[in-house]
Amino acid sequence: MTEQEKIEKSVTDEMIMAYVDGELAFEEQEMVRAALTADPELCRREALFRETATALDGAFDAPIHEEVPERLLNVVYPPESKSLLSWFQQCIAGGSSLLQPVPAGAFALIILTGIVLLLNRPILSPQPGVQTLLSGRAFDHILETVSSGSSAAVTLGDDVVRITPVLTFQDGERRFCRQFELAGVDVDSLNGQGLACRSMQGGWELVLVEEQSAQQDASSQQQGYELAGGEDAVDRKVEALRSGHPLTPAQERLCIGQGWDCGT
Amino acid sequence: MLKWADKKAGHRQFREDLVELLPRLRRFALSLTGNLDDADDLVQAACERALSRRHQWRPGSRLDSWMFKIIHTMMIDEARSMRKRQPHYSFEEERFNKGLSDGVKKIEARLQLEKVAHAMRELPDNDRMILSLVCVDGQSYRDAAEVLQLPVGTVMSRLARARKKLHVLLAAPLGNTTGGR
Repeated sequence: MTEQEKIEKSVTDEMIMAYVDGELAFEEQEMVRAALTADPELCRREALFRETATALDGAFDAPIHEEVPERLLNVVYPPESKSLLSWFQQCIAGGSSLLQPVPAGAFALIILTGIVLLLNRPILSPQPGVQTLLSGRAFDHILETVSSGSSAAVTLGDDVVRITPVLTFQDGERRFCRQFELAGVDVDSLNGQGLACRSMQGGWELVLVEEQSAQQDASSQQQGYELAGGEDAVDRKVEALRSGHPLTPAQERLCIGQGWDCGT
Repeated sequence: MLKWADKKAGHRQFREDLVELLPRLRRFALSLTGNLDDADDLVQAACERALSRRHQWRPGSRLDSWMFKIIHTMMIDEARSMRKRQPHYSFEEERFNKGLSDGVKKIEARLQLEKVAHAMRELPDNDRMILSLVCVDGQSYRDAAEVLQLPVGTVMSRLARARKKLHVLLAAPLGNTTGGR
């Protein structure tokens, strides 16, 4: 066997393929090139790899030339599932018993108020933060109106955070308190649970928030609520505050329907 | 721990990068699934998984490799769960001929693409995956090895085998493929 024949024998399919794909170092590339020049059989093998590369190159390029479908963009940038607008719409649709007797002028005022609320949405706030989220009107509205097990979303800047009340009870001072879960659209944006109690004047005051990562943002320490450090701190706080049994779903519905004027 | 504002900036960048990747992910998924609807389903599921596991992605590492890995894992999971659908290739001529102006060329191109798509359908998942990474997406052997979590040498030998099978399938008349499985 001549030296040339030995070289040709040592050229594997993988080497020829790597040569076609431009994956060889310069010396190997030159060696394969020389072997190809000398051996038609190697050329046939080279053609196989070149043809398959050519066949696949550009064969599936249709998505490159067209716009990305909206449904995919909506996954990355979810439309706000529930904004103040939708809550307002719910008020009109679901709370019709309250709104039915309202005369046309007052109805227009409500619409105007809704627009003002929209213009003041947190999305315009330049200083978003957990305290903004959990002390805003939107958060208050959720605890005021959403039943345990149901969710509503609030926007914070361009983030969407879903809040799900999970338990309602009264504390020793007969205040209504609600435990809730937080879930950011991006998992590590804000996840965890919290506890808020309704003041006698109305309005929900945050008692405790527990981020899933159990690490705290320094700024939250000065915001008048406690940021839990350990796991299940909210659960423990609930047990410490709770006086009597949690509200049943029926009791909770009654209280929501009566604006929490429902001493159980 | 990152402050809220830092997290937000990171999330915004992550989403922007993900949107930029979508055309590539769709092309990759199309080569795996064979039709755009299934490709978009796959990309949608991959994006949902990526967003829900964003904390597992290391900032500074390559998002494209991570996304391809997610799609690869999803394909494996799907195969294991036996819910796997056969790739169903359908060609919408208008969409597949974007950029081709000449009528004869269009017809030739369409026939060729149809043939390639049918040949891909006949290949096992692993072969299709490796061909899609290297020959469709244009990744280096090293990058493909990273996605597939295989040694580069293994990628090369599998890729060479897959291309030989594809070559046989491409040589067969349409509708007369014997299968490369």
